[in-house]
Amino acid sequence: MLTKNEKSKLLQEKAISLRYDVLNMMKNPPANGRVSSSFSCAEILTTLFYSGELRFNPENPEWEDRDRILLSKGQASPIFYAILADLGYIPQSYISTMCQKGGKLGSLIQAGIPGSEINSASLGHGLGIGVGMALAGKLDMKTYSVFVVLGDGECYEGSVWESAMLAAHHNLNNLIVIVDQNHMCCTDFIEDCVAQDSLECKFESFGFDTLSVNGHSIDKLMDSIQDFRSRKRNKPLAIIADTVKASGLKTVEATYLCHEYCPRADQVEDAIKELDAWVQAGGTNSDNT
Amino acid sequence: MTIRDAIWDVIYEEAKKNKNIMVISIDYAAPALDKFRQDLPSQYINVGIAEQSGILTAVGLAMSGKKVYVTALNTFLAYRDFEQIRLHVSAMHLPITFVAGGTGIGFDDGGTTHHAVEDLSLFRTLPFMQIYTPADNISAKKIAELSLISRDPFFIRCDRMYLPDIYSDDATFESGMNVLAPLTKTSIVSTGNLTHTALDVSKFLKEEKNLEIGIIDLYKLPVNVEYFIELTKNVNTIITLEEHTLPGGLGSNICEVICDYRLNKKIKRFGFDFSNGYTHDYGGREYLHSLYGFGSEEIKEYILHQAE
Repeated sequence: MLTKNEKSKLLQEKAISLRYDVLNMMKNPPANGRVSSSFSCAEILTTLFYSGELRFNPENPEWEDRDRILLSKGQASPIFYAILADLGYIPQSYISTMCQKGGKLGSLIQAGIPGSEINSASLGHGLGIGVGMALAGKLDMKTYSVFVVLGDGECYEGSVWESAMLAAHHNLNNLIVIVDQNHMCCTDFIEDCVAQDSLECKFESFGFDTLSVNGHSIDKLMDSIQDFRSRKRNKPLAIIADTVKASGLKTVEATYLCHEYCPRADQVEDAIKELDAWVQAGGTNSDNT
Repeated sequence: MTIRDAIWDVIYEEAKKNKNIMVISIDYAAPALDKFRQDLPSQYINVGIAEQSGILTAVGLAMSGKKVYVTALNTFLAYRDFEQIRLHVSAMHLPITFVAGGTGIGFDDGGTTHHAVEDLSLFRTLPFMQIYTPADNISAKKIAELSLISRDPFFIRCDRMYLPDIYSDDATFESGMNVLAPLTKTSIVSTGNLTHTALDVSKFLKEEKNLEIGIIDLYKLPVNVEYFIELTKNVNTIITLEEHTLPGGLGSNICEVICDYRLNKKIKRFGFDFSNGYTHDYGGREYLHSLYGFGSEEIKEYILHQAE
């Protein structure tokens, strides 16, 4: 039995390892995907998929009692694919043929990929679908929970708030929203574009329980989802996870237009060296080490 | 009773036995829906005036094994929700049925806001989507029964107004179209409320002018091509009638069939031509039909002129 610290350390290493997987994915042109979006949610997805708290079965992706993980910000497909391959949802050959003729994976997550649940990346859709799944779970007396990972840029979409209102009205305490708050949308900084002020306050005013955590801290993320299945409160939960876009690549991190960053095959080694340097310096944007 | 009530009566009877049936109302009512609200509250959800959330919730329910019906005003369902329906319902082939109210210019005084006259153009591009336009309550009930057993998404376009029954109880609705008057060299292909216009035209021409005009009620799009070709093999001129814009609608679909299958037929399409802008006219549905050249009188004149 691992101690909490040992587990946390292992998960932190996994989040780093997944970042390498993402960069290596780009060695196979025309592989394409959002590296910076992937890196900002690396610890969030690591916590969901590797903490052992959620139940799912890669050998039976459709298992009806599985906890659902909807990556609504499907632009972060590379790290999602890396996880799916690592866990055995999809074969590694899918990764090496990303975006190629005959390949199974494109730059955005599509339904039909084992483990993917939905066609994502049309922003603002994931939460509403998650509401429907959570409602069905309640109606059918199921014990699964639904986790929906949103971006803060995605929270500009009105459908997010339509769905949030509905979730709270129906007391969906089996619904957990995690906002990857990397403070950027596609072309700008949130603060400069249309300031969102406090997403925590917004979700709270829409009837959610809320938490704000460092989204690169495995410890804090694990704490935030502990006991999710036995939540006593009737409200859905929103976890605002503060992150850094492209976390791990210091020259790219939170820079203007870093959303578009994707190294060409001949640039991957330089990106890996940059990631190496970040790892050697501690490999974290969190405050839990 | 209007078409939507006829549909809900069928769904209600089944929903009493099948708890898996769910109705999502996007704050859209119908007298027959009140029974769901009262008797089956756990199977009825009003999501409020929130079209996007309504569809997305329906998607999540359907992905969890529920048989979902969604009802809303056609114009909002078709336009505001097109992306959600395309990306999730159609792309994932989910068996969700949309019961769209106020089809065409049912809300004739509502202006462009409430005129649902481009939905066919949009929805017939969607894979798997079965688009139905019932012309009476009997067809509506039969189509509702089909929706209960289908694995495909259905988009049922309901007329706002009561349409008198034109079918008998033993009519069937599997083929996509029914012949209402024996087909002639010049025949009308119509849908929904304009099938009643076609019947009026046909009756007048027969009784007053001794001129027989065939009618096909084409209640389903995309067109069942093989059956349409077989049915119309002896028809030379097809007149299409739809309370819809001309680009992309029923008439367009027939043009595509004629072109793709190199059929030697002439076609005249009647419907809205909004190429110079949407209508800002009021005065009732029939007035607007006439204004745009497809009132009953205009069609009679056209056919008589062609017959000369």
